[in-house]
Amino acid sequence: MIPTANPSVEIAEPVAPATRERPRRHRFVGPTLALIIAGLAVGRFLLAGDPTTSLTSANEVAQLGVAGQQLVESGSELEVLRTRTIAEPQAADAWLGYGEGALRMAIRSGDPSYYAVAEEALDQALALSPESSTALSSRAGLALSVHDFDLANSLAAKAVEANPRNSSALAALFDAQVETGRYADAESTLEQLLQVDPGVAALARTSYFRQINGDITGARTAMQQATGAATTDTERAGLLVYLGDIELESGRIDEAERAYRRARDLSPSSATAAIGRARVLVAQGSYAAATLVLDDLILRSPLPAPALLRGEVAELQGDAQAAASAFRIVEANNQLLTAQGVVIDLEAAIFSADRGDIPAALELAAAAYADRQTIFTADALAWALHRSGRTDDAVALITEALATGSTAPNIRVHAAAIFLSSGDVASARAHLAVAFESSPWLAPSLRPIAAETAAALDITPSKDWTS
Amino acid sequence: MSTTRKLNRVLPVLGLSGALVAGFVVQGDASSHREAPLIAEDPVADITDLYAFVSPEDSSKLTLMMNVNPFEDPAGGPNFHKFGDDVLYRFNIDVNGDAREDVNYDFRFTTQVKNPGTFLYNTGQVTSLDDPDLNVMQTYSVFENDRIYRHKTTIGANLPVPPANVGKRSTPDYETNLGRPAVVSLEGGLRAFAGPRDDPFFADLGKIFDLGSLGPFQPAHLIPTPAEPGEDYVAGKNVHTIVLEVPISHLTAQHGDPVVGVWATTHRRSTEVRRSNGTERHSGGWVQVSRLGMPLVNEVVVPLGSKDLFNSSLPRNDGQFGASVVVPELANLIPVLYPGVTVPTSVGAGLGIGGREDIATIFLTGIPGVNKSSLFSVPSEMLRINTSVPSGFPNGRLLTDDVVDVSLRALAGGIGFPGTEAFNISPNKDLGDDVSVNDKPFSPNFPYVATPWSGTD
Repeated sequence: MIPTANPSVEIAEPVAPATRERPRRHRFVGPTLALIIAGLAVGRFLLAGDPTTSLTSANEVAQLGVAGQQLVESGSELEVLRTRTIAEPQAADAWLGYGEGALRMAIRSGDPSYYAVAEEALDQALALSPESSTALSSRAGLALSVHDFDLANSLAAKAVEANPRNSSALAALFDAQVETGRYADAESTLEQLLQVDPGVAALARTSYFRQINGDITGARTAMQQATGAATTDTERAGLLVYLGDIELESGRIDEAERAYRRARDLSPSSATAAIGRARVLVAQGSYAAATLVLDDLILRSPLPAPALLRGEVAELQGDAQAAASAFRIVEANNQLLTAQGVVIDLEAAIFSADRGDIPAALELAAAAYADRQTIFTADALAWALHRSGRTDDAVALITEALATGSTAPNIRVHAAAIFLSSGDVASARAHLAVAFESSPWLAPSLRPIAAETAAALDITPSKDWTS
Repeated sequence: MSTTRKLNRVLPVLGLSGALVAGFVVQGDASSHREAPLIAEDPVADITDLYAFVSPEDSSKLTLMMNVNPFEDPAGGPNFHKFGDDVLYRFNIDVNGDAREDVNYDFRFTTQVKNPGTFLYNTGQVTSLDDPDLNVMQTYSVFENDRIYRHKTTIGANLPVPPANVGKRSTPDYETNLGRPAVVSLEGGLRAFAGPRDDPFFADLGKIFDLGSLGPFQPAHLIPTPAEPGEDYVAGKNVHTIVLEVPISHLTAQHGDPVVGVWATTHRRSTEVRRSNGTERHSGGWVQVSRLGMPLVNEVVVPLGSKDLFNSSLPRNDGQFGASVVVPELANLIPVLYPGVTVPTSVGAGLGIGGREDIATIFLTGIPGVNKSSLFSVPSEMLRINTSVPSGFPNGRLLTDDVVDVSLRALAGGIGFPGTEAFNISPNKDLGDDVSVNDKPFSPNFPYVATPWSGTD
């Protein structure tokens, strides 16, 4: 189906922003990159009307190309910033501005090829101004974006040392500490941030930290405060989506819907608000309506989050073919991200486990856990171990995942299943009860696990979440 | 070189945010990652300018004005600009030169939405402050905080903030119907106004940020180009302003010195990371997030890397910035950018610290014989005003003062400060950005700032 890649094909052009050659940090460049290039080549070929390839993959792949084209068009702001680096190549500020612009672009567009541009520019800014707290914290922000959490941690720590009142640096340090499982350090960094600048960024992080610690009510309060302190519609919309996520995860579907709707009203093009609405529809059992929302979203920009949910909904509907094509988009994105040096071991581990590829899940989760011991990597590894039949190891890991008291439904549902298989029925019951209490709707991928565990424990869930 | 009252208000325009963009790619199970919100500019808490002048309407009164939320686009709908409900806005006044606030005036705002069922700002034509068609409305309270006698008094409550000047259909005769009626009397003979107005600042920020370019002097620049007229980059923009009129005797009676020092601060309330009671909204104290006294303070007094420190610091600790004030970076850039122009490097003013003591007196101590307190003299950055002589920057600051030109000339030694006579020549005494007046005339009456631009202007 996919023709052999011609390495000389200039096919990356529609996706990648115009840059000159730069050093890149690839983990798995070779075959993966070739695959991506091949995939994009197919897309371009098909746009010209090749009749020999199936429509599904044509659509999927063509959309990657179309999305890239739109990104290039909206890259003019970045061009302006780049111009300044050409005019003043010795100005650290110019490189900083260009690098931050590229990073914004990567996040806004979901196109990871901008990370390489950001890396080159921010490294240049740091080379010109190695002690600059601003440059250090921006570079730390990039490291966070590509999930290089150890690098982020050391850069952010230096940035805080250079300027203990740099709120951006403190925020980056907190993020790095949370993502590497240093929860006690993260708490004191957050306390420092709240003393320097108790604005949106500090409040939203307070919310997340409380959520990790199982304080959903406190998480909701802090996110409401953050929403109130937001100053732009886009910013407020983003925070409302987080608020919606908290509401949804604590089973308050109507409140979640209200938050996502307000987010959409403030930022009609927000993809995360649309995903939130789709999640609400899934929770309400309106799969067809959710599909419409997700398909529209994927058509506009084939990012992994809507594609993943679309596949899961298709599975709930029993449409294996639609599920497979949605998951192909997720896989293509994962390959693209990996090729751009973004570490997605944890996400890929969860994806593999949910799709039943247990050996891959185990390998990926073990790598993620070896890299950083967080409640989420511990959960992913625990689940992969459980699915591999290694119950004792799974119990040890899921106990770590439960250490902060998080009520995250994936952790609690996995815990219930793992403790059930270890014979600890009381713990299994307790964790399943927390999962049902905090998240009656449950994510599609968790439903069969929860259903099976509930049946084995002879528990009847309070809401209709098994449909 | 960077020349504006506050550097950070200009950066977003240039696309240089200095903001951390720490975003995680939302991938797979969204619960394991979250796109971390940026440390963004906080415009509603960002003080852009402070003014202090003896009231033109009544010479027994002092007018104080702080502006926040820079570069408001008048066509801001459907969500128009407002003050932060969670921000404390404060005027700090030192009446004896000891660099400590003796009186605070605090402003707190509350947003009221009459009909939460609609997202419309107004549901019909708005012709008065209590018009039922005005759906979103802010009110405010003012508190006087006497730090010496330690008592806090509410001197005004439930006061109206006029709405945005939406346009001639929504808000006809804005000034008559909405602007002037929003001037309120407070207890103790004070008056206040808080709301959107035309931004009274004026400067050619575009050129200045292009390597310190000044329109008329471009042929003499290091990178020469033909002379050009100045262009007001703040023209057509609104700000949110808080104006307070205080009887001068209220401030000066106790010590009998006509000099007072003023600075504005904004504060956000912090919170505890961990909480046991999820219903309690706030459990932390107020944290100072922005501070402003003199214009151009970030360029002259505070090294760029210390901006965060300055914003959170107290005037009484400003001695730490003394070394950079007497070696002002901006002054030393002038001869580099304009070859042939020389500026003074050492001007004594009796401080005994060397360097540009003239600049140190303007920013840190008050100018002897003009606006230096006769009581104490703790070096501290604030806007000082001698209320017994005519106001005008650097003795206080009038709306009409061209602070960019005055500051550039002061740095170049061109304002006739004792000890700089040799530099009071052309071009030092003529430096400027060729933007000398505001885009709108000021009002002769309180609150003096001009009617806000409307969305249909």
